[in-house]
Amino acid sequence: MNRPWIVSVAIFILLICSGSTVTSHAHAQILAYHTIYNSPLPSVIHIAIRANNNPRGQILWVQTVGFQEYCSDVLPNEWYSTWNLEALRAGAMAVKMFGWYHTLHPVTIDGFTFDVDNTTNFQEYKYMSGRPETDQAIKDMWSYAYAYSDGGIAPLDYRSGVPNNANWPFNHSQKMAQWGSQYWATTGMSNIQILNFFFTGRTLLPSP
Amino acid sequence: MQQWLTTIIASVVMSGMGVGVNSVPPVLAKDLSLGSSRTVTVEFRVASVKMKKLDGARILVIDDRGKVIESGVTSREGVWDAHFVTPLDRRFLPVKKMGTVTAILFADGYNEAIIFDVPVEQGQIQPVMLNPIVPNQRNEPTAQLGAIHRHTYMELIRHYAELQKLKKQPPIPGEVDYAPWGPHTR
Repeated sequence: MNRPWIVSVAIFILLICSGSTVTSHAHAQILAYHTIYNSPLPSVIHIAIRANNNPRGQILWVQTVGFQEYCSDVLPNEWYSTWNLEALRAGAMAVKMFGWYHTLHPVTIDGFTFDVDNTTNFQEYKYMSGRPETDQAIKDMWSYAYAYSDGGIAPLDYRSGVPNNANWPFNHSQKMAQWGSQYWATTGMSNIQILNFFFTGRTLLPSP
Repeated sequence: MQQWLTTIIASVVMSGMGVGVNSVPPVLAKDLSLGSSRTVTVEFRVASVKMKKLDGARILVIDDRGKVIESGVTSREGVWDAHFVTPLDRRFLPVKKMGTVTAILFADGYNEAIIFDVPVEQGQIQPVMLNPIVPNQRNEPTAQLGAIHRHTYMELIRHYAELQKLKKQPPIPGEVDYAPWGPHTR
Protein backbone atom coordinates (compact mmCIF):
# COMPACT_ATOMS: atom_id res chain seq x y z
CA MET A 1 0.00 0.00 0.00
CA ASN A 2 3.03 2.24 0.08
CA ARG A 3 2.94 2.51 -3.68
CA PRO A 4 -0.70 2.91 -4.87
CA TRP A 5 0.47 3.97 -8.35
CA ILE A 6 1.69 0.42 -8.96
CA VAL A 7 -1.84 -0.88 -8.36
CA SER A 8 -3.30 1.74 -10.72
CA VAL A 9 -0.87 0.83 -13.51
CA ALA A 10 -1.60 -2.86 -13.04
CA ILE A 11 -5.37 -2.29 -13.29
CA PHE A 12 -4.95 -0.12 -16.39
CA ILE A 13 -2.81 -2.76 -18.14
CA LEU A 14 -5.35 -5.40 -17.19
CA LEU A 15 -8.21 -3.37 -18.71
CA ILE A 16 -6.35 -2.78 -21.95
CA CYS A 17 -5.48 -6.46 -22.31
CA SER A 18 -9.08 -7.51 -21.69
CA GLY A 19 -10.27 -5.01 -24.31
CA SER A 20 -12.86 -3.55 -21.99
CA THR A 21 -12.06 0.12 -22.41
CA VAL A 22 -14.52 2.46 -24.09
CA THR A 23 -11.94 3.57 -26.62
CA SER A 24 -11.42 0.05 -27.84
CA HIS A 25 -15.16 -0.50 -28.45
CA ALA A 26 -15.63 2.76 -30.31
CA HIS A 27 -12.66 1.95 -32.50
CA ALA A 28 -14.09 -1.44 -33.36
CA GLN A 29 -17.33 0.20 -34.49
CA ILE A 30 -15.55 2.66 -36.77
CA LEU A 31 -13.65 -0.14 -38.43
CA ALA A 32 -16.76 -2.25 -39.12
CA TYR A 33 -16.54 -3.35 -42.74
CA HIS A 34 -19.80 -4.34 -44.38
CA THR A 35 -19.77 -6.98 -47.06
CA ILE A 36 -22.52 -8.82 -48.86
CA TYR A 37 -21.42 -11.85 -46.81
CA ASN A 38 -21.71 -10.35 -43.32
CA SER A 39 -24.55 -7.91 -44.08
CA PRO A 40 -27.48 -9.72 -45.69
CA LEU A 41 -29.74 -7.99 -48.20
CA PRO A 42 -32.15 -5.90 -46.10
CA SER A 43 -35.79 -6.90 -46.01
CA VAL A 44 -36.98 -3.37 -45.22
CA ILE A 45 -35.73 0.20 -45.44
CA HIS A 46 -36.66 3.23 -43.34
CA ILE A 47 -37.57 6.24 -45.48
CA ALA A 48 -37.90 9.80 -44.20
CA ILE A 49 -40.83 11.32 -46.06
CA ARG A 50 -40.25 14.96 -46.98
CA ALA A 51 -43.16 17.06 -48.21
CA ASN A 52 -43.59 17.06 -52.01
CA ASN A 53 -40.32 15.16 -52.51
CA ASN A 54 -38.54 18.43 -51.82
CA PRO A 55 -34.90 17.84 -50.74
CA ARG A 56 -35.10 20.85 -48.43
CA GLY A 57 -38.63 20.07 -47.25
CA GLN A 58 -39.53 19.27 -43.67
CA ILE A 59 -39.41 15.62 -42.64
CA LEU A 60 -43.00 14.59 -41.94
CA TRP A 61 -42.44 11.04 -40.68
CA VAL A 62 -40.38 7.89 -41.29
CA GLN A 63 -41.98 5.08 -43.27
CA THR A 64 -40.79 1.46 -43.24
CA VAL A 65 -41.10 -0.19 -46.65
CA GLY A 66 -40.09 -3.54 -48.11
CA PHE A 67 -36.64 -3.17 -49.67
CA GLN A 68 -37.52 -4.55 -53.10
CA GLU A 69 -40.71 -2.47 -53.18
CA TYR A 70 -38.58 0.56 -52.36
CA CYS A 71 -36.23 -0.16 -55.28
CA SER A 72 -39.21 -0.64 -57.61
CA ASP A 73 -40.63 2.73 -56.52
CA VAL A 74 -37.29 4.51 -57.03
CA LEU A 75 -36.08 3.28 -60.43
CA PRO A 76 -38.86 4.80 -62.61
CA ASN A 77 -38.32 8.17 -60.93
CA GLU A 78 -34.58 8.09 -61.55
CA TRP A 79 -34.36 6.42 -64.98
CA TYR A 80 -36.87 6.89 -67.83
CA SER A 81 -38.82 3.64 -67.97
CA THR A 82 -38.75 3.90 -71.77
CA TRP A 83 -34.97 3.55 -71.85
CA ASN A 84 -33.05 0.53 -73.07
CA LEU A 85 -33.38 -2.53 -70.81
CA GLU A 86 -29.60 -2.70 -70.20
CA ALA A 87 -29.62 0.92 -68.97
CA LEU A 88 -32.53 0.08 -66.70
CA ARG A 89 -30.67 -2.97 -65.35
CA ALA A 90 -27.56 -0.87 -64.63
CA GLY A 91 -29.84 1.63 -62.92
CA ALA A 92 -31.55 -1.14 -60.97
CA MET A 93 -28.20 -2.27 -59.62
CA ALA A 94 -27.26 1.29 -58.65
CA VAL A 95 -30.57 1.85 -56.89
CA LYS A 96 -30.26 -1.44 -55.02
CA MET A 97 -26.63 -1.03 -53.90
CA PHE A 98 -27.20 2.60 -52.93
CA GLY A 99 -30.14 1.59 -50.75
CA TRP A 100 -28.32 -1.43 -49.30
CA TYR A 101 -25.36 0.74 -48.28
CA HIS A 102 -27.57 3.29 -46.57
CA THR A 103 -29.51 0.70 -44.57
CA LEU A 104 -26.10 -0.02 -43.01
CA HIS A 105 -25.44 3.67 -42.33
CA PRO A 106 -28.61 5.24 -40.93
CA VAL A 107 -28.60 8.93 -40.06
CA THR A 108 -30.46 11.09 -37.55
CA ILE A 109 -31.72 14.48 -38.74
CA ASP A 110 -34.20 16.76 -36.97
CA GLY A 111 -34.87 14.04 -34.42
CA PHE A 112 -35.75 11.39 -37.05
CA THR A 113 -33.55 8.34 -37.58
CA PHE A 114 -33.76 6.87 -41.08
CA ASP A 115 -31.79 5.17 -43.85
CA VAL A 116 -32.79 7.36 -46.80
CA ASP A 117 -35.30 10.09 -47.59
CA ASN A 118 -37.70 10.28 -50.53
CA THR A 119 -35.78 12.97 -52.39
CA THR A 120 -32.64 13.46 -54.43
CA ASN A 121 -30.74 13.86 -51.16
CA PHE A 122 -30.66 10.08 -51.59
CA GLN A 123 -32.89 8.68 -54.36
CA GLU A 124 -36.28 9.95 -55.49
CA TYR A 125 -38.95 7.65 -54.10
CA LYS A 126 -42.66 7.81 -54.85
CA TYR A 127 -45.03 5.24 -53.41
CA MET A 128 -46.86 3.14 -56.04
CA SER A 129 -44.88 4.57 -58.96
CA GLY A 130 -43.42 1.25 -60.16
CA ARG A 131 -43.79 0.40 -63.83
CA PRO A 132 -43.60 -2.98 -65.56
CA GLU A 133 -40.35 -2.20 -67.41
CA THR A 134 -38.48 -0.99 -64.34
CA ASP A 135 -39.98 -3.70 -62.11
CA GLN A 136 -38.59 -6.26 -64.55
CA ALA A 137 -35.13 -4.68 -64.43
CA ILE A 138 -35.17 -4.82 -60.62
CA LYS A 139 -36.14 -8.50 -60.72
CA ASP A 140 -33.44 -9.25 -63.29
CA MET A 141 -30.70 -7.85 -61.04
CA TRP A 142 -32.07 -8.91 -57.67
CA SER A 143 -29.93 -12.03 -57.31
CA TYR A 144 -26.70 -10.09 -57.94
CA ALA A 145 -24.64 -7.49 -56.14
CA TYR A 146 -22.12 -5.07 -57.63
CA ALA A 147 -19.47 -4.80 -54.92
CA TYR A 148 -15.73 -4.89 -54.27
CA SER A 149 -14.16 -8.26 -55.03
CA ASP A 150 -14.17 -9.15 -51.31
CA GLY A 151 -17.88 -8.34 -51.22
CA GLY A 152 -17.43 -4.87 -49.69
CA ILE A 153 -20.58 -2.78 -50.01
CA ALA A 154 -20.24 0.77 -51.29
CA PRO A 155 -22.98 3.05 -52.59
CA LEU A 156 -23.31 3.26 -56.37
CA ASP A 157 -23.71 7.00 -56.70
CA TYR A 158 -25.13 8.59 -59.85
CA ARG A 159 -26.07 11.87 -61.46
CA SER A 160 -28.17 12.92 -64.43
CA GLY A 161 -25.32 13.63 -66.85
CA VAL A 162 -25.71 15.20 -70.29
CA PRO A 163 -28.63 14.01 -72.44
CA ASN A 164 -27.87 11.94 -75.55
CA ASN A 165 -24.17 11.93 -74.79
CA ALA A 166 -21.51 9.38 -73.84
CA ASN A 167 -20.68 11.40 -70.73
CA TRP A 168 -16.94 10.68 -70.88
CA PRO A 169 -16.13 12.89 -67.85
CA PHE A 170 -17.95 10.27 -65.76
CA ASN A 171 -15.71 7.46 -67.04
CA HIS A 172 -14.30 5.68 -63.94
CA SER A 173 -15.43 8.61 -61.81
CA GLN A 174 -17.24 6.31 -59.31
CA LYS A 175 -20.45 8.08 -60.32
CA MET A 176 -22.77 6.86 -63.04
CA ALA A 177 -24.33 9.29 -65.51
CA GLN A 178 -27.93 8.24 -66.02
CA TRP A 179 -28.01 9.62 -69.56
CA GLY A 180 -24.65 7.97 -70.14
CA SER A 181 -26.09 4.60 -69.16
CA GLN A 182 -28.77 5.02 -71.82
CA TYR A 183 -26.23 6.18 -74.41
CA TRP A 184 -23.96 3.17 -73.89
CA ALA A 185 -26.87 0.75 -73.74
CA THR A 186 -27.98 1.88 -77.18
CA THR A 187 -24.49 1.18 -78.52
CA GLY A 188 -24.85 -2.44 -77.39
CA MET A 189 -23.16 -2.43 -74.00
CA SER A 190 -24.51 -4.81 -71.38
CA ASN A 191 -25.47 -3.65 -67.90
CA ILE A 192 -22.18 -4.88 -66.42
CA GLN A 193 -20.17 -3.14 -69.15
CA ILE A 194 -22.05 0.05 -68.42
CA LEU A 195 -21.35 -0.24 -64.69
CA ASN A 196 -17.67 -0.95 -65.37
CA PHE A 197 -17.49 2.17 -67.55
CA PHE A 198 -18.38 4.34 -64.58
CA PHE A 199 -17.01 2.42 -61.59
CA THR A 200 -13.67 0.79 -60.85
CA GLY A 201 -12.63 -1.94 -58.42
CA ARG A 202 -16.05 -3.54 -58.30
CA THR A 203 -17.44 -6.68 -59.77
CA LEU A 204 -20.74 -8.45 -60.27
CA LEU A 205 -21.21 -11.09 -57.58
CA PRO A 206 -24.03 -13.52 -56.84
CA SER A 207 -25.99 -12.12 -53.92
CA PRO A 208 -25.77 -14.68 -51.08
CA MET B 1 -48.30 60.59 -92.96
CA GLN B 2 -49.75 57.20 -93.28
CA GLN B 3 -48.21 56.16 -90.02
CA TRP B 4 -50.18 52.92 -90.06
CA LEU B 5 -48.42 51.86 -93.26
CA THR B 6 -45.01 52.44 -91.70
CA THR B 7 -46.01 50.39 -88.67
CA ILE B 8 -47.14 47.47 -90.81
CA ILE B 9 -43.99 47.52 -92.93
CA ALA B 10 -41.81 47.70 -89.82
CA SER B 11 -43.69 44.80 -88.25
CA VAL B 12 -43.26 42.67 -91.37
CA VAL B 13 -39.56 43.42 -91.59
CA MET B 14 -38.97 42.79 -87.87
CA SER B 15 -40.86 39.54 -87.83
CA GLY B 16 -38.89 38.45 -90.89
CA MET B 17 -35.68 39.15 -89.01
CA GLY B 18 -36.93 37.35 -85.93
CA VAL B 19 -36.54 40.48 -83.82
CA GLY B 20 -38.25 40.20 -80.46
CA VAL B 21 -39.05 36.57 -81.04
CA ASN B 22 -37.05 33.70 -79.60
CA SER B 23 -35.93 31.01 -81.98
CA VAL B 24 -38.24 28.40 -80.53
CA PRO B 25 -38.76 25.53 -82.94
CA PRO B 26 -42.04 26.09 -84.77
CA VAL B 27 -44.99 24.13 -83.49
CA LEU B 28 -46.90 22.60 -86.32
CA ALA B 29 -50.63 22.10 -86.24
CA LYS B 30 -50.17 18.36 -86.56
CA ASP B 31 -48.05 18.41 -83.38
CA LEU B 32 -50.86 19.84 -81.31
CA SER B 33 -53.06 16.81 -81.37
CA LEU B 34 -52.42 13.21 -80.57
CA GLY B 35 -54.99 12.43 -83.23
CA SER B 36 -58.60 11.64 -82.58
CA SER B 37 -57.98 7.93 -82.80
CA ARG B 38 -55.12 7.91 -80.27
CA THR B 39 -56.66 7.54 -76.88
CA VAL B 40 -54.05 7.61 -74.13
CA THR B 41 -54.25 5.68 -70.88
CA VAL B 42 -53.06 7.34 -67.69
CA GLU B 43 -53.09 5.19 -64.57
CA PHE B 44 -53.91 7.00 -61.34
CA ARG B 45 -52.73 5.23 -58.17
CA VAL B 46 -54.22 6.69 -55.02
CA ALA B 47 -53.10 6.14 -51.44
CA SER B 48 -53.25 7.93 -48.13
CA VAL B 49 -50.13 9.70 -46.94
CA LYS B 50 -49.66 6.70 -44.62
CA MET B 51 -49.39 4.54 -47.73
CA LYS B 52 -52.77 2.80 -47.52
CA LYS B 53 -54.26 2.17 -50.95
CA LEU B 54 -57.59 3.98 -51.28
CA ASP B 55 -60.64 2.30 -52.74
CA GLY B 56 -63.48 4.44 -54.11
CA ALA B 57 -61.63 7.71 -54.60
CA ARG B 58 -63.28 9.87 -57.28
CA ILE B 59 -60.97 11.44 -59.86
CA LEU B 60 -61.91 14.19 -62.31
CA VAL B 61 -59.66 14.85 -65.30
CA ILE B 62 -59.80 18.40 -66.65
CA ASP B 63 -58.23 19.51 -69.90
CA ASP B 64 -56.50 22.78 -70.80
CA ARG B 65 -59.85 24.38 -71.70
CA GLY B 66 -61.37 23.65 -68.31
CA LYS B 67 -63.58 20.83 -69.51
CA VAL B 68 -64.02 17.62 -67.48
CA ILE B 69 -62.99 15.03 -70.04
CA GLU B 70 -63.03 11.93 -67.86
CA SER B 71 -64.15 10.83 -64.41
CA GLY B 72 -63.88 7.59 -62.50
CA VAL B 73 -63.37 5.78 -59.21
CA THR B 74 -60.38 3.82 -57.93
CA SER B 75 -60.48 0.05 -57.51
CA ARG B 76 -59.67 -1.91 -54.34
CA GLU B 77 -56.03 -1.57 -55.32
CA GLY B 78 -56.38 2.21 -55.37
CA VAL B 79 -56.04 2.26 -59.16
CA TRP B 80 -58.09 3.92 -61.89
CA ASP B 81 -57.19 3.88 -65.58
CA ALA B 82 -58.27 7.04 -67.36
CA HIS B 83 -58.63 6.91 -71.15
CA PHE B 84 -58.80 10.18 -73.03
CA VAL B 85 -57.45 12.30 -75.86
CA THR B 86 -55.72 15.59 -75.15
CA PRO B 87 -53.56 17.95 -77.22
CA LEU B 88 -49.83 18.15 -76.69
CA ASP B 89 -48.62 20.77 -74.24
CA ARG B 90 -46.64 23.43 -76.14
CA ARG B 91 -44.42 24.15 -73.13
CA PHE B 92 -42.90 20.70 -73.26
CA LEU B 93 -42.63 20.31 -77.04
CA PRO B 94 -38.94 21.29 -77.23
CA VAL B 95 -38.03 18.23 -75.17
CA LYS B 96 -40.98 15.89 -75.12
CA LYS B 97 -44.23 15.29 -76.93
CA MET B 98 -46.73 15.01 -74.14
CA GLY B 99 -49.96 16.58 -73.00
CA THR B 100 -50.90 17.71 -69.53
CA VAL B 101 -54.18 17.74 -67.62
CA THR B 102 -55.38 18.72 -64.18
CA ALA B 103 -56.84 16.12 -61.82
CA ILE B 104 -59.04 16.69 -58.78
CA LEU B 105 -59.51 13.91 -56.25
CA PHE B 106 -62.19 13.26 -53.65
CA ALA B 107 -62.27 10.42 -51.12
CA ASP B 108 -64.35 9.74 -48.02
CA GLY B 109 -62.42 10.66 -44.89
CA TYR B 110 -59.79 12.63 -46.81
CA ASN B 111 -59.22 16.20 -47.86
CA GLU B 112 -59.45 16.96 -51.56
CA ALA B 113 -56.34 17.20 -53.70
CA ILE B 114 -55.72 18.98 -56.97
CA ILE B 115 -52.86 17.81 -59.16
CA PHE B 116 -51.61 20.29 -61.72
CA ASP B 117 -49.74 19.26 -64.85
CA VAL B 118 -50.35 15.53 -64.81
CA PRO B 119 -48.20 14.31 -67.72
CA VAL B 120 -50.17 12.61 -70.47
CA GLU B 121 -48.24 9.95 -72.29
CA GLN B 122 -49.24 6.42 -73.13
CA GLY B 123 -48.72 4.27 -70.04
CA GLN B 124 -48.16 7.23 -67.73
CA ILE B 125 -48.51 6.44 -64.02
CA GLN B 126 -49.61 9.19 -61.66
CA PRO B 127 -49.35 8.37 -57.94
CA VAL B 128 -51.39 10.61 -55.63
CA MET B 129 -51.27 10.83 -51.83
CA LEU B 130 -54.30 12.16 -49.94
CA ASN B 131 -54.31 13.71 -46.47
CA PRO B 132 -56.84 12.31 -43.99
CA ILE B 133 -59.35 14.63 -42.32
CA VAL B 134 -58.07 15.42 -38.83
CA PRO B 135 -60.68 16.66 -36.32
CA ASN B 136 -60.01 19.99 -34.65
CA GLN B 137 -57.33 20.89 -37.20
CA ARG B 138 -57.38 23.00 -40.32
CA ASN B 139 -58.57 20.67 -43.09
CA GLU B 140 -58.15 22.05 -46.59
CA PRO B 141 -57.38 20.75 -50.09
CA THR B 142 -53.76 20.27 -51.07
CA ALA B 143 -52.19 21.19 -54.39
CA GLN B 144 -49.57 18.92 -55.90
CA LEU B 145 -47.58 18.77 -59.10
CA GLY B 146 -47.97 15.93 -61.59
CA ALA B 147 -45.35 13.22 -61.88
CA ILE B 148 -43.20 15.02 -64.42
CA HIS B 149 -39.96 13.09 -64.65
CA ARG B 150 -36.78 14.66 -63.27
CA HIS B 151 -35.05 14.29 -66.63
CA THR B 152 -37.93 16.04 -68.40
CA TYR B 153 -37.84 19.18 -66.29
CA MET B 154 -34.05 19.22 -66.27
CA GLU B 155 -34.08 19.11 -70.08
CA LEU B 156 -36.71 21.81 -70.17
CA ILE B 157 -34.63 24.10 -67.97
CA ARG B 158 -31.60 23.44 -70.14
CA HIS B 159 -33.53 24.19 -73.32
CA TYR B 160 -34.84 27.54 -72.13
CA ALA B 161 -31.55 28.51 -70.48
CA GLU B 162 -29.72 27.90 -73.76
CA LEU B 163 -32.44 29.74 -75.63
CA GLN B 164 -31.82 32.79 -73.46
CA LYS B 165 -28.04 32.32 -73.73
CA LEU B 166 -27.61 32.06 -69.99
CA LYS B 167 -24.28 31.17 -68.44
CA LYS B 168 -23.60 28.30 -66.10
CA GLN B 169 -22.59 28.98 -62.51
CA PRO B 170 -19.13 27.91 -61.31
CA PRO B 171 -18.51 24.15 -61.05
CA ILE B 172 -19.55 22.55 -57.76
CA PRO B 173 -16.81 20.71 -55.84
CA GLY B 174 -17.53 16.99 -55.84
CA GLU B 175 -19.78 17.09 -58.90
CA VAL B 176 -18.76 15.69 -62.27
CA ASP B 177 -19.22 17.99 -65.26
CA TYR B 178 -22.20 19.78 -63.72
CA ALA B 179 -23.16 23.26 -62.62
CA PRO B 180 -26.56 24.93 -62.34
CA TRP B 181 -27.52 27.66 -64.79
CA GLY B 182 -27.13 31.24 -63.56
CA PRO B 183 -28.96 34.53 -64.14
CA HIS B 184 -26.31 36.14 -66.36
CA THR B 185 -26.23 35.99 -70.15
CA ARG B 186 -23.24 35.12 -72.29
